[in-house]
Amino acid sequence: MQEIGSGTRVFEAAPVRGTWRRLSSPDDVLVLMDTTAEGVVACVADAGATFLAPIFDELTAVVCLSGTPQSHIGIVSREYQVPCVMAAALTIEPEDDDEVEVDCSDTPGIIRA
Amino acid sequence: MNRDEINRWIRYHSEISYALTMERTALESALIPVSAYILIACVECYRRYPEMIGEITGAVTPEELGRAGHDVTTQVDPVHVWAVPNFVLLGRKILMAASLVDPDDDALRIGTVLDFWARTSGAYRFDDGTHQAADAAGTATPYRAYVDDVAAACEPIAAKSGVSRLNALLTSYLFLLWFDTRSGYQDTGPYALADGRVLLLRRYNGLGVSHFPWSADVGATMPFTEVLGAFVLRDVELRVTDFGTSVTKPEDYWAHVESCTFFDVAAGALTPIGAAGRDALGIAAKSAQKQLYRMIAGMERSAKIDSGAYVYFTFLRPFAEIARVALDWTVPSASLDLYPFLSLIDGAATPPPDAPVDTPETYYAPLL
Repeated sequence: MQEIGSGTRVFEAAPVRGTWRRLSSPDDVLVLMDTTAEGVVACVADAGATFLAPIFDELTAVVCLSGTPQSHIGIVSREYQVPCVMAAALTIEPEDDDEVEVDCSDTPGIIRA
Repeated sequence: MNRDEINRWIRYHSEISYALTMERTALESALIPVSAYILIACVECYRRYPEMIGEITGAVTPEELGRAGHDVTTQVDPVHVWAVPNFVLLGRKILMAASLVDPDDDALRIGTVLDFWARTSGAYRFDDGTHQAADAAGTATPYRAYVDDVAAACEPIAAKSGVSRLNALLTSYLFLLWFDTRSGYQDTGPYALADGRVLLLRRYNGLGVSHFPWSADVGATMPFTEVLGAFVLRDVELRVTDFGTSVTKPEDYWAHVESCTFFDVAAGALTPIGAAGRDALGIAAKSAQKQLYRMIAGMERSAKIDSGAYVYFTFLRPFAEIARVALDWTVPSASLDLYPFLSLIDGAATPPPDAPVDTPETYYAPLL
């Protein structure tokens, strides 16, 4: 896998692998809520806490394109202990269902695909 | 409060809130139009809080309200104390940008709010000369009278993951129930314990049915409505912000939780919640969260803005409830002239390129 992006990690965590899923609307979240979000690395634009609320505990990792560890989504990821990279800058964005790795073992947090 | 005092406190809040905002940066949600509802609510706060505060302080002094925050059952807590002046100042900032602040009226409005806040926050912080956690190296310890009893009740929990999951579920559910604000859960601390350990206390507020219309269905099945979480931390640097959020080194404090417990505090006493109760609470929170998410996702955008504005505008409500003063919490009410413009904001309220850049000194402008 090659590095495709990096950002501020919320907390230190071992690398995890899952399938990339860009989530843009509540309907995207509802689909996962009604099936499963297990194994999903969710990529979101905004740093609010509520957007991923009903599936957060099932996610493998979160990549947020804005915010800081003190943004609401960062706080919730810390409480769920779901690895999270904030203000992630991507050189390329994976396709949905591509396998990716989120590595928060060091700073900055790294995304690989 | 004279003009110099008002300007001194405006500058004080300007520097602290600028720093808090820079630390947090983004707040938008793809589910809830947060920026739009904040603008509506804060305009309402600027235009209505001074009179409402006058009614509250006609019944109870600000000092009594501040001391009421030492009781775990009230919502006089860090973010509510911080919010009252800052929502008003944010509303003023928005109105100033539109040249809608009357200089003759401004000093009285801001002076009323800042006097209320300075007296309330001083008493809330035990008259130690500080007014916010930012003054005191990130400490807020209103519940110090409970510490011995709480620490004695904390116990090592074998299945730590179950406890951390419950905490996360409650935190996440409360962000949703309170429309992406931090007012549903509030951290205070660090409370120093023996051997260098520290206690973090976390209030989970209003889990059940409340004055929020959307809580009527989802909150009805919550087995506990007012909960206090207590976490004994070893080898962790802990500070809290005036948003009521803990910041730790290391960032993931869960590996350092030595013991913990959860209390039901709805009746005013510390009643430990056993394993079965914790399990039931977690299951109920998970279910309520799904139900509420579906409900909010189905709302029209305008309804989401009205609901979020109501959450923000009612940050003054805990003070009114202690004072037993009935007030009109209807929103929108005093922002109707701006509502068509403010509610159109989609996403973060990005200033125009030629707008002045905020600095710690200018985040809130002095009196005109």
